[in-house]
Amino acid sequence: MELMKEWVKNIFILILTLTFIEMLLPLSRMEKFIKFVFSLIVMATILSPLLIFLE
Amino acid sequence: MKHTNKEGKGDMDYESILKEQMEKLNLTELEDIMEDAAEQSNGIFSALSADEIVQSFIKGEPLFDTEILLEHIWDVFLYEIRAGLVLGVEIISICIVMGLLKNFSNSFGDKPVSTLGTVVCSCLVITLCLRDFMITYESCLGTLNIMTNTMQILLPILIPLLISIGGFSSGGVLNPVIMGAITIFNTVLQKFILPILFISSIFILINSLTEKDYVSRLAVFLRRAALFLTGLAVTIFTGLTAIQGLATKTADGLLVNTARYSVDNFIPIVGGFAADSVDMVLSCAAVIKNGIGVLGIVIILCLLVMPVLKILAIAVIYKLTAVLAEPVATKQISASLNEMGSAVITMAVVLGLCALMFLIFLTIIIGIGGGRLWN
Repeated sequence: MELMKEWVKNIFILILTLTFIEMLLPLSRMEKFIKFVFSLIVMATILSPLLIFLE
Repeated sequence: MKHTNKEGKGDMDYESILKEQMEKLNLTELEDIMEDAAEQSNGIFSALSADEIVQSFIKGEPLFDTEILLEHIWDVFLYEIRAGLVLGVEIISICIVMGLLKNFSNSFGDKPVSTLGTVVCSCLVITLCLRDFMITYESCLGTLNIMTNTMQILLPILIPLLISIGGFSSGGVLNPVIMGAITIFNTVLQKFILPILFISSIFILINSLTEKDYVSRLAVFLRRAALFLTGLAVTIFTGLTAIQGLATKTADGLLVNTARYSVDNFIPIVGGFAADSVDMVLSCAAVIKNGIGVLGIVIILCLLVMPVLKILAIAVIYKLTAVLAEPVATKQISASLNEMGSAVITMAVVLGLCALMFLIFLTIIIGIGGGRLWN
């Protein structure tokens, strides 16, 4: 249960931070790439509990 | 209505037997719960005692007036909707501000400023929804615990009664099965299913912050999984109990019929009368057992009705807010409000399933040995 809490908290904080960072990004051609990297980070966080099964 | 003594034996009046048997039972704990539950249900149900229920069985009177009951339920539902309107109005006003910010973003000329405004408004909506959802969650958890407690008090009264009317093997088998099922189910709901629903609603809300959908599928998946798990648990536990009940019922019938037959045939002259009076006492005990079982059902319904009405009212508010927010606010906000409505409905469904399982347990106990004994 603690693990689950940690996981949810991580996703929550991550998405909140990413939203604010996205806002502060300058409008440039790089924006799309950065957003893509962000979504990769979110995916990695969602998948993170799987690490326990792999160990 | 006057009760005549059909048996023609002076001391075999069923009312006196019922009275005697009722006096031996200690029902104060149960009746305390009934009073609390009736109070909690805001006058939808009135407090009944086991004695009243048994009396109304014999006289053939209905326990509740259906029309008045439905009227009460409708009144309470409307009251809860009125109480929940505050939340709806708050969310709608924030959404209107959000729409203003979004549509006037051109006059600010700066994209980050208007996005920041939108995000801050979304944060406000999230806070409001989470606060409200916490209340729903707590009431759901509380109701679940009270219902489990009621069952745990009810079973030690019902099972000895079941055994006393000859359900030796039924009582012996059903008691541990039902007790175990209730305890396991309560733990599963508390530790897994309700937290999963909570997490799912957190994901739904956080999803409304971003323009892109990051976790909406995850949220829906978690909710479906929770619902599926509840359904599975209810099916397994009720199935197991029902099979046990059916299997042992026949064995009990065998035992009781053998006992009666031997009293009838092997004791000369008075044997026939003795067998008849055994039947009489057993039927009285069965009536009391069913009366207490019905009392249990009424208590469970009492405990269930208020939280479910409250939760459904909140769900209606969420859905209406989603409908109203759609034209003014962003697509994400209205979608997430809609999903929140579904999440809240899921809570009510889980609670309902839990109550359904308890009702089935009680019905199984009532069904054993009811009416004509073991035939």
